[in-house]
Formats: sequence, C-alpha cells, structure tokens
Amino acid sequence: MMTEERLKDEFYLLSQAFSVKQFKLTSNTLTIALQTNSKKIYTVRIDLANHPYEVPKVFITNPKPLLDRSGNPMLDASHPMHTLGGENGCTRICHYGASQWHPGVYLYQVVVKVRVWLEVYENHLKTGYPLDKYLTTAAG
Amino acid sequence: MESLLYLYQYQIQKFVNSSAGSQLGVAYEWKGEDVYHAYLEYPQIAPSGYAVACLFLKAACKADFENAECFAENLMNQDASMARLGMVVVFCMENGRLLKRAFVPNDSACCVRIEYVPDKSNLYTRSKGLIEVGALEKRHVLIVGLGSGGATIAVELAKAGVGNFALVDFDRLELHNIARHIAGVNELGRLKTNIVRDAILGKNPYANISTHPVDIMKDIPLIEQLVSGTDLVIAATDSLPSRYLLNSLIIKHKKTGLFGRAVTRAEGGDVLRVRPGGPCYACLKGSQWYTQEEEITDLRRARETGVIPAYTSEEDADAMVQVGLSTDIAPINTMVVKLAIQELSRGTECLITTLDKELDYDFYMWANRRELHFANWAPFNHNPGRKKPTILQWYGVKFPKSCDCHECRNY
Amino acid sequence: MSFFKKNQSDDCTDVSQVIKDQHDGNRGVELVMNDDGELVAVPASQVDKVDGIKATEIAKKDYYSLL
Repeated sequence: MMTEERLKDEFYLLSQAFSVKQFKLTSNTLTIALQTNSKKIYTVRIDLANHPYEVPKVFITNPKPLLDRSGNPMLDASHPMHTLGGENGCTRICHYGASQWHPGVYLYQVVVKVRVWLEVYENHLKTGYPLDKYLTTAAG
Repeated sequence: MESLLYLYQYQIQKFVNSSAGSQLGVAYEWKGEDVYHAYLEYPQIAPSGYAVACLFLKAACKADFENAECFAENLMNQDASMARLGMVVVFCMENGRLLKRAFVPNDSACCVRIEYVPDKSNLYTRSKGLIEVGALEKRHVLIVGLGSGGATIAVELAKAGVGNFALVDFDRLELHNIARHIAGVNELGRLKTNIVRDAILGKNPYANISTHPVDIMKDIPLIEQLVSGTDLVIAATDSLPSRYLLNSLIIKHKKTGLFGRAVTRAEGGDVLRVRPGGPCYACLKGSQWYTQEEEITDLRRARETGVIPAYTSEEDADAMVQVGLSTDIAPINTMVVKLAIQELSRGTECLITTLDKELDYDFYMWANRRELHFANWAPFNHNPGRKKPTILQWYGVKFPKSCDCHECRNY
Repeated sequence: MSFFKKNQSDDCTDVSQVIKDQHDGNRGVELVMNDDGELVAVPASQVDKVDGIKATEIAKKDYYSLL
C-alpha cells in the first residue's frame, strides 16, 4: 500500500529517531526493538497492510504475551490497559484512535507512543495501577 | 373500462423491422390497477406485477389488423400453450404509418390504451429545463459507497442526465438501512450495487453502468483504474481509510472528488471538494472547523473498522450508534449533487453561471440543529448583527492547501 | 538535565507521572526521548535547547516539517 516515496520518508524519519540496527522496515511490516528506561528490551511489530490510510496494528512480539501484574496474559481488549485483542499469542497495543488517525501520521510517531506505553506498562507492573490512570487517551 | 399498456419503443422498432410475423413476450400487470408493461426482451430491471403471456402480431393487412381477436381466439383453442394468453398487441403498416392496438383476449369490454416508453433520444424531451438534454450524457461518474448518501446521489445524477456510472460497494442491503436508503424491504439482501444500478436504469434505461461489489481497500488496482477513467469521483463511503485512499488516487490522477458526510447524529454535515491544485482531504485534518466525529450508523462496521474500539462494551457501543433522519442527510446529498453537476458541466454551454460564486468553495458546512458543535450557532431567524453562523444555511469556506501535506504537496 | 534521579527514583513511575501531569494541563515538565531511546524529563523552559523528540506531544503535533 505504501508508495516508494512514503517508504523512504518513513525510513528516514525512523532513522533520525532510532538506530538503523534497531529496526527493520518493509512495505508490509516494521519490526523494532525498544528499550525502556529500566533497560528492558521489547520487540514490537507493526503491520502495515493499509498504511498510511488505516491505523496500523501494533503487537509486542517479545515478550509473548505480555503479562500483567497478576501474571495474566494481556491478550484481551481492555480500556484500562489500552490493549486491543491480541493475535497469535501477541499483545496488541491501542495507540492512535481511528478518528485521530490520518495519512500524515508517520511510523516513528507510532513507535514513540509505543515507547511511552511500555514505560507506563512497567509502572503498572510495579504499582498495579492500570495504564489509563496515566494515559487519558491512547498512549500519549 | 380502460387499461393502460406501456411498450418500449426500441423493442417495438426491432420487432416491426424483423421478418417475424409474431413473437411471444410477457406483460406485467400492476394487479388491480389495469396498468401493464409489456416486453419482447427480458427487462433490464426486475419488473413488478403479475406476469401474463403477451402475443405481439404483425398483421399483413388492415382486415387482419381489425380481426385480430378472431385470430387470437383460434390460436388459443388450437395451441394449449397459448390458452392463458393475457394480452395481444397488433401492428400493421398502412401508407407508411404504423397502426397499433391491443386487447385482452375474451374480454371485449376492456379497452387498452397504448403508451410508449420512448427511445434514448426522446426520453427527456418533455423535461426541458435548466440543463440541456443530453449535455451530461457523455459524462462519467464514479460513486464509491452506495448507502443513504451515495445511492441518492446516483439517482439524482441520473435524473440530471448523467449517462455513465461506475458503482462500488461491497455491502448488501440490511434492515437498518431501510429507514434512509432509496431501496425498500423487497430488496433486502440484494447487493447495493445492483439496487442502485436498477434505480438508475429506472430513470434512464439507456445509462451505461458498471458495478463493482468490492472492498476498495482490498482491490486497489481496480479502484485506481476506475478513478483514472472517470470524470468525477463521489466519495460516499463510511470509513476514513477508504476516503484517504480515494483522496490519494484523486490527487494522483488529477481528478475532482466530492466527499460528503454527516456528523454525529446528523445534527450537521459537510462537503469537501478536492480538485487539482487545491486542498485535499488530508489537508483538512487539524482545521479548526473540522471534526472527525462521524455519524455512526452501522455497529458491525464501526467495530470492524475500529471506530468503536474492541474494548467498548456492547451497551456503550450501542449508545454510540446514533442515526439521524433521512431528511437530515438530504441537504448534504443535494449539495453534493449540485457541486457534481457544476463540475460535470464545465466546458459546456449549460454551466449554471448564476451559481458560480456560490459553488466555488472548497468546503461547505451545514447545521440541521443547534446541538453539539452547533449548539452556539444562532437561531435561524434571529441573528442580530449576523455575528454568528446560523443553522439551516450553507456556509462555504476556502482554505489553503497545506504546503506540508504529504498527500498533495507534490501536486 | 533530567529530573529523574536514577539512583533515587523509579523511572517508569516518574515517567508515568509526567505523562499524567501533562494530560492534566501541567506543562512544567516535558518528556523527551533522547538518542539512546531513554525518556528523560526536562523543564519546559529548556526543551527547545535539548535534542530529541517530545514524547508527550507526539499525538498532538504534525511533524511534516521534519521531511
């Protein structure tokens, strides 16, 4: 779905924000490794089937699945935890809402929102507070 | 007692010019109304009424023409397959003039008056008006989304004389569509492309129509081909991704597109015109007057597209589906049609110049009721000093193309 | 400069609090993602002097001009 020009722009912006060793971008998928302030590393996969016209699906592929503070897999849609229904055992993150999305949103913006989500997720593991205590809309 | 019989002129001409002395067709009676429509070929759109066999005859001479009842009676007695003949139509050439009459066999009390559904060139001769007949006949319109917006717009454009259509929608008519759609309960389950095709043909049997019951997000080469081959795109889909896709293709192929929508519970709506060199749908994002709170009319679709997130409870989701009245979306449909006719008329003599100043904006807003974003608008007939916008009136907005817009900045 | 004192505070809790404060309208502190991917808190008055992406504004601003 992405044009060649868009793919190049996405790569350029991602490489400005992250090391090129950290991510792999094709027209179908973006895979990126993110490290939180606590130095934990997460692998994120973003499906780009209809990018940039549609909100892309974002999954945490490692750890698979993410567990909440009680040890339960986070595979269900949950407003407090800002997750959507997981697929293939991977937790799916709610980032941009359908009405917030437009073709001018770039992948690096999505990734930064995921980065923020991961930080707040770790806070949940520590304190038990759900993510929506801190995230008033989709992450960020 | 007089019955009324409609014949299709082009079918009769074919029959009269053929070598056949008779041909069996079918007549459909609007039961109890003594109105028939008779066909020599299977009709383009599913006919209504009670079907009866209809025999078309060419009489060799005036005497046979006037005694056709005897001929029909003999035929019915001799040929079992003709026993239940419901209508007979007889023609005879006399001094270069085509005589015609019809009768119901074994019912001498019934008089039948014949009327023609004229051929293409005469279809709208009685409806001379603002737009010259035939002016839009060669124009082509692509309509994507055939719900209560797109379907109505399609029929109005057919009435205005547009002669070529491409219709796109993957959906079927469901019960919740009935309140606002042009189709009725007898068409439940039908593909919307077929419903709208038939509605257009009902207004103009000679329109050229292609139907494409597909999801454009899953067949981009097809929609790109359709966009590239049309004069005007009507984007009447209910999903943002499909509109963004259409926006991209319209820009790429330097076409003009019209995007119409109703907001929330159709307390208002707007129309965006995307044209070469002008602002596009993506430019609109972030504009202060533009909100993304669309009217949600279909719960299942809203869940599928993520407009209603997966974690929303059934109760909350149900409350988000707020369908406005058909009359609330009518002004939006009408504005789209007006703009469409204006665009399609460019370069012809029938361009309505008295609307040029009004129909030259990029974006049009309409408020039906003073609710939500329009709550502070002035009442219709009380707007001192005209300091506030008022409801029930169109407002046109020109806004600049965004130089940063990734979609249109290079065009 | 960062408000998060790594030896004395728990980063993820601090980061979460900054996000909440931002949404509550308190813009005294901004979260910035630096080159290492670390989210650091920076006084709003100094944000423009710091390299990195303002994480908590990412949903609100168009970044076309970066291209």
